[in-house]
Amino acid sequence: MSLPGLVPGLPGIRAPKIATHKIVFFQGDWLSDLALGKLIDGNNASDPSNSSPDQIVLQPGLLMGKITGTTGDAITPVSGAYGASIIDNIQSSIASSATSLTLTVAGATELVRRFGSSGTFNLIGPPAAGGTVATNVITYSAVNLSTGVVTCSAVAAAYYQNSFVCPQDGSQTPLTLIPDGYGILVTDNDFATRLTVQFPCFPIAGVINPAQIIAGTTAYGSLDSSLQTWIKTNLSTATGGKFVFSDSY
Amino acid sequence: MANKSIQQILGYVSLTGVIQQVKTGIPDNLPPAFSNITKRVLGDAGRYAQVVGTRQTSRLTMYGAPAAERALKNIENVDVKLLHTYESIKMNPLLLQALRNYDNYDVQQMGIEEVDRQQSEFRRYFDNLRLSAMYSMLANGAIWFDGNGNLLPSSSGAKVTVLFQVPSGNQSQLNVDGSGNVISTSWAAANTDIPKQIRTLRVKAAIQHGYPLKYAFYGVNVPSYLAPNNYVQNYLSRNVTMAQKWLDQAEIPDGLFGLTWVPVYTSFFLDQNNAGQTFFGGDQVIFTPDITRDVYELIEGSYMIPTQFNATADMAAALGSLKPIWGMASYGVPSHNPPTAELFYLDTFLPVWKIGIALYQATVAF
Repeated sequence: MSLPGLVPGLPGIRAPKIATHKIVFFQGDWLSDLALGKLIDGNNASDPSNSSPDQIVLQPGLLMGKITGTTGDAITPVSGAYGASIIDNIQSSIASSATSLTLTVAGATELVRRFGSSGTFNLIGPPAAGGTVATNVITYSAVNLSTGVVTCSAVAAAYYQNSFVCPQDGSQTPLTLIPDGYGILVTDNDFATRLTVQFPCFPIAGVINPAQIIAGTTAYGSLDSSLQTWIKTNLSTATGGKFVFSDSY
Repeated sequence: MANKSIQQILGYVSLTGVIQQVKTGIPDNLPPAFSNITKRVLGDAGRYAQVVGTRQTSRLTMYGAPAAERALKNIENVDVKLLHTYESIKMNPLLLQALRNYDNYDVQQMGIEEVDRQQSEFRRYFDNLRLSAMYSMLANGAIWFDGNGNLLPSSSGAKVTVLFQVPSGNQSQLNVDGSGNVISTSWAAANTDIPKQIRTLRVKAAIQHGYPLKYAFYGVNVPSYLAPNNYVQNYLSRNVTMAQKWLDQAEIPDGLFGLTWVPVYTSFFLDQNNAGQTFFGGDQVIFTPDITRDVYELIEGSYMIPTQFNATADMAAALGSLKPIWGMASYGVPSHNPPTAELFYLDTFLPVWKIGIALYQATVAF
């Protein structure tokens, strides 16, 4: 373990390391957090949209869901804790019966870390632009970490670009998101060992600026409208969260 | 048997002192602030907290509506690793005990004149490195060394590179914000509106970082471009004081167009092959803000040097015989078999231009 304050390497001035403050909520006067807070399962939560090696910092806006099972997870999850809802987005549309799909390199790395070099995951998205969002389980046999190509069994349906690659342990249903601030670190202070960490400010209501939502590695604004609606519908339900979205007005 | 002349045996030659064939040291052309604004750190590393000021405006709100939330400002860490140099020379006391003075035949006191000379010349290497590092930082936005620790005039062959984060838009013709070159026409053309280019750069600087420009460090050709320039001549013809300064000094007068012009074209060093290497291109002008702690520091790191070489009772006493020093330092070590005196000189430092975007390395003729 390196010593705190140690600057390794050759003489020079290093590039800045930046702690970025980000707000997700449009206004601070109507924002509710659940009393007592919750937990985050650090083994089942990463932010591939954050630049390497900082995927261990869950940025404000990252969608989070509740872990209720173990299906598909390579590392036994903490039941009742929260995990990241979306691993990555497929980088291009795939036809029905396709036997491969392409993720980003960061997304492929997270897929292997969370689900293994082979296994299953949920693919959630419409078959075409503006279509009906559906969920299918994908069985994959290989992941190319250099290209992001995932080799899989024939896909049961077509999927439009940027459809979501999601877990199957319950956290695939977004119930909340990481709130305003500098993000949540999910490791010990060696920045390597993942832990179960506290989720103290657990938003259950508020006015969200949807442009700040993190749903994979594709910007929210570039998602198909059906995927945007799917996110909003899950965040604001009759029995769950009471979020409204600033772009509705 | 070979016969020698009496002159060879008893001939007398007058001693006429020392000729300094080449002056020692390299010219120091920089304002004193480059050497005076110092900061001490432990070891050879430091860390800055970097912040960005606020230049946006708040948003219009309907009277009575709730407040819109604003994100806090980011905070950044910038790590710095210092340069370190450590060399030694040895002198043989068996030789020193029998040296004459430079200008008379009296014996020196243990070669004191020669020892002083060697010691001061040895120190000069370290002074030269500090100054050269500052020159290279200004001229190139970088300092380069080869695998043997030799300072390099360019990146060719570099194994160690210190970069000062000067963006490419702050170099050459200064396409600072991507909207076009500030140095849009060559200063070699007499009808180039040089004052306007300088004013344009002031605007870019205000937007880019907000530190007003003060200095213009210039290369050997630049006065030749300014002298026949139509706009400069019009200005000087109306400003007798400034014109007189130009005539008196044959250099760009201080204060022309609101800048302090500093000639740096005699800045050089001798490389490991004894070849002269200049730092600043003939057509180069380096524009900077005032040299204050906001934009620049000479960081000096710490090192431990011995104060004695006797055996000590324990580890604590041994460590206690080492003392920390910052920046440049020296110490001597005698040994006895055979008798030798060794002088160690060292320096741990880095000139740090803190704000890469506030350094403009313009090439004004093309």
